[in-house]
Amino acid sequence: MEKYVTLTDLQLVDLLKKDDSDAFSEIYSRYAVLLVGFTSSKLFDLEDSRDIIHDVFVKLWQERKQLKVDYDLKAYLFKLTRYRIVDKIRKNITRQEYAAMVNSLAVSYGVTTEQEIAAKELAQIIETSLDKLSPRVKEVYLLSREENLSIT
Amino acid sequence: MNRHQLVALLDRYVKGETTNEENQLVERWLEENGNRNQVWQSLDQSDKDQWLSSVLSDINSTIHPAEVKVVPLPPTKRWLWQRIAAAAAVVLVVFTLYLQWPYWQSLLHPVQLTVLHAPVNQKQVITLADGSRVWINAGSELRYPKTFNGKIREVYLSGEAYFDIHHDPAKPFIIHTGEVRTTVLGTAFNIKEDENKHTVQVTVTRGKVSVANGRKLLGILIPNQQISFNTLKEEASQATVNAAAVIAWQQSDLYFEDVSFGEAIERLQQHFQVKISFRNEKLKDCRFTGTSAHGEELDKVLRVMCAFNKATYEVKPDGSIVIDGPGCSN
Repeated sequence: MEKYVTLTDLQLVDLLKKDDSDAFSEIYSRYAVLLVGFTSSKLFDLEDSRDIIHDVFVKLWQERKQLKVDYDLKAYLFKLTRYRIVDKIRKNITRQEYAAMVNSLAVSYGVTTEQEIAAKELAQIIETSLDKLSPRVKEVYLLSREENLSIT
Repeated sequence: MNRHQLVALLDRYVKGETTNEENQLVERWLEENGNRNQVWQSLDQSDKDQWLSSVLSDINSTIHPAEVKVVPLPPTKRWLWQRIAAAAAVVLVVFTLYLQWPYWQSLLHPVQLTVLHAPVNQKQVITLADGSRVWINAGSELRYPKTFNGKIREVYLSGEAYFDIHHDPAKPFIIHTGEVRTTVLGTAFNIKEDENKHTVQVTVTRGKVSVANGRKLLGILIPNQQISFNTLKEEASQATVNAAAVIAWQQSDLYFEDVSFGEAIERLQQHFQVKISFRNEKLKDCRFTGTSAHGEELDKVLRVMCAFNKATYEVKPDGSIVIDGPGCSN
């Protein structure tokens, strides 16, 4: 086990692909604590975090053959974890704590949709105003905007 | 966006069918929300290590099922196991009592609370031992300890107050309003209890606030969110509001509710640092109610006040002001 501590993530993934269970244990001891810190800061039941950690590492083992050698292991593990956290929240949506969380998503979603609409309207206004300009002036404007050329 | 659409969004996210923007939205939301009072954080290192290694052995038995060995225990040993379990249960009970010691202690030695009652025509501002500031609205009452000794900071409110709580993640701040508990770490918010309507309203201006009724969580609020809780029906509703309007009472420095002209002028003198006198002393007994927006000019305030009390005012060459009039009939 000792020698695994000094290996890089890439080397560990390489060993994992060759069914090295010690490499697997080293990956666990490197990232499980980070992942449980992440899940428990989002979920209200530590048992749910346990399920997720269990799932994520079982998945890592099952998919080991398909892992690319140059995989960013940490990002991969966090991505798997994030999907499972959202899944847990989704399944527990009737719990008051999660209902409150989802409500705040409704708020931010509402805001961004409004912003998108506003941005679209603005783009339209610019478009129609441009059509009123002479073709040459319009071209100058478009070049300055889109090609970052100076007006002078 | 309604609940149905939100659930659909989360479903699509889990299946990986969301657009890039939706992904960013969900991920940012996940980043910003969650559980503050984590059990995990409160475990010590050896508990964490034990937890992690037990999860790892579960994982290993899932991915290498063939290697799992079932070892039946001989009956005599079961006795031993039961004894160990019993001993462990005793240890657990003692440990739980130990953890809850601050709670038991607070029952045994109740904390001496100071009562601050704001008169019907005046607001009060107080700085608590931890540096938190509380604006208590007229006619409301705050009970608080001289110092915060325990693991939590606790105060009791009846009526309305605006809180600006000093941030201290190690010592949550709890405001009791009847059965309603508002828990924060360091934020600013308004609580309004209306005994006639049987409601308690919590409105947040900064940070995050969790509101509970007894043991039941009513909701977690972010700025410009408000919870109204009906204490009779035990029903809570949440809404997005303009928090600035809710706390206007706290910001308007001059807030007169059923005061005498004399008292009002005394406060104007303090506020504007000018000398104001009455030519006719009878004017001092006129009563009125009114609010003056923050930072409004003295001229404007006096004009309205004098018009209301059938009086006139005059600025003397030395800057002092004299008020005159026939007085009120009441």
